Amino acid sequence: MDLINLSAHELNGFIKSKEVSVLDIAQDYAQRIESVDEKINAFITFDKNVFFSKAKEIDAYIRSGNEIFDFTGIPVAIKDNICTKGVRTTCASRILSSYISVYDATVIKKLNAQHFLMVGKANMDEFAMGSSNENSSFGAVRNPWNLDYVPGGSSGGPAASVAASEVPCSLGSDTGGSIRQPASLCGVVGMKPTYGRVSRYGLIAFASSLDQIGPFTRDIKDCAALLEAISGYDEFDSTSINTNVPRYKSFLNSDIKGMKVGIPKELMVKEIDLQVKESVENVLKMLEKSGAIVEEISLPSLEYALSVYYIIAPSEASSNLSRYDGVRYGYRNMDARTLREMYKKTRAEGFGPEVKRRIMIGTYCLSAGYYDAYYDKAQKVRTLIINDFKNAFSTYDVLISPTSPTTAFKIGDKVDDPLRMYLSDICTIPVNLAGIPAISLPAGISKTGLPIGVQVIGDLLREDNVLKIASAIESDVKWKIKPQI
Amino acid sequence: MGNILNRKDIVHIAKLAELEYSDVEIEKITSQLDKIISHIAKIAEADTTDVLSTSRVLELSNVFRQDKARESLSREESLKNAPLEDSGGFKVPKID
Repeated sequence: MDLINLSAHELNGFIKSKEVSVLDIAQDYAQRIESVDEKINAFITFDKNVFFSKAKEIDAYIRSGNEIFDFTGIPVAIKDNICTKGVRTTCASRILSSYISVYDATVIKKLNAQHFLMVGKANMDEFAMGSSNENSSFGAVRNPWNLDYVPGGSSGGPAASVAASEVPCSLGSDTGGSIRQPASLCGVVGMKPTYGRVSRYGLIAFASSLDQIGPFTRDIKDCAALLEAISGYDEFDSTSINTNVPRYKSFLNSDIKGMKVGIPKELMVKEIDLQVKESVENVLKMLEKSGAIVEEISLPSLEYALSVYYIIAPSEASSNLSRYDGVRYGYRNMDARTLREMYKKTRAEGFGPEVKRRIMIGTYCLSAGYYDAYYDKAQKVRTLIINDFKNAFSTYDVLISPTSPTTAFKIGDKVDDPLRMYLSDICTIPVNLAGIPAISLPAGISKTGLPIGVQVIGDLLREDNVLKIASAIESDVKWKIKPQI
Repeated sequence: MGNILNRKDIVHIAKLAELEYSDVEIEKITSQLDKIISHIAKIAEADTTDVLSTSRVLELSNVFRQDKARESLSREESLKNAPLEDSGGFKVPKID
């Protein structure tokens, strides 16, 4: 059986019927990782012995007649900014390169309660800052569709590992598009839930008012199941939402007749590739054929979204990353003779160039004399953006846009021009500022063989609408092709 | 681009951020940050008269919990990742 090309729900069926053991699954995936990851570099930490012994443990659990949940025995890769007790959690940074987590993130606890099979820790842009996964101190991740191209970022490892059939699903984090953009560039499904839907406890903080953990999967059904598994209130995250978690899987294959779809013209940006535009337009035509009402709309404040994001996110980051001072954990410069010298040298040597740039931007925006002009102003414009979305969702059930204006770009293409790199997140950033949920799923493939993604955005806690429309798109696009590695 | 930031500003910001740059790096970071800040300064154009700031997207207020002691990390676990420890504490160079 071709286990490495099955979805999580298909694997779950075979586990339940006892046709395959969890160890069978682990062996096939381990073999796949060993044969392709040298080229992809999706993993920072993968220990085959730990992987196999965990698989055997789960087999024993199953043999004892215990309940088999959606993710019992399912291999899942975890982005390396999510804490996993007893396992290294590096954030792809030199400053945490030997850090061993002392507790599990809430999402890990939830998956452990289902007896999932953790595969390893996936590569990323350092501290989740980047759109190409080139900012990793463990080396760039390569796009499985073409090894000369980036997989997107910052969750490049989680996205590429699913695309390369190294795992059926993974967890990433999304602060400005870090799940959706790499999902789009790698041809997989990736979702950012509503802010507060999933606990951030144990997610190493980048920008606390924007960060959210979410799933990468091969199909919408797995996405709904994984979202369901990790969602819910957590007393360890005071920003998590205290409402029931809906049965997300029940929203698939729904009738979308009469659903209202808005197309924000500001997200059909002028830099958009013609082929990306065509793919998104085909999706819209298909939705109209299925009875949805599709209309172009305007959210004028989105013009400022990128500026707002690059003030708020670095400001929060400069504060969050002040904890890396070489005192309690992580890398330390051992030659410094005074405390201040130790701070400076530790941070200058421990952080990579992009992380330092963002700390510098944030420090500037929060500094005396500039706070009002930048940080406070950005928070006010953030309100305008939220109001634009509120307005749109008073009429429309979902909004649709390209996930990324372009397909994957070549490794090295944008590394020397940070501002150009930032612009690749232009369609995903507004969603984080408003805290609303959005998904990226495959919409087509370019003439050069690179995946194209479409983004479906919903109102706060309306993951149901997002999944309904995404499921309709999926059944029409019929995405079955896989990269040849 | 804008010339909003110069070398002196960068040295000052780096000091506030407890970072340091070599002379060669300063050239590059000055021009990169100047370009980025000039771009984001565009928000000055947005009309925000009578608009309130958003710091949180959810309407949550004062999330409290019971002030009850519960199990936490042991001293040993807390010190596990320390670069240097001494007598159950974190050891650092002399404070200047």
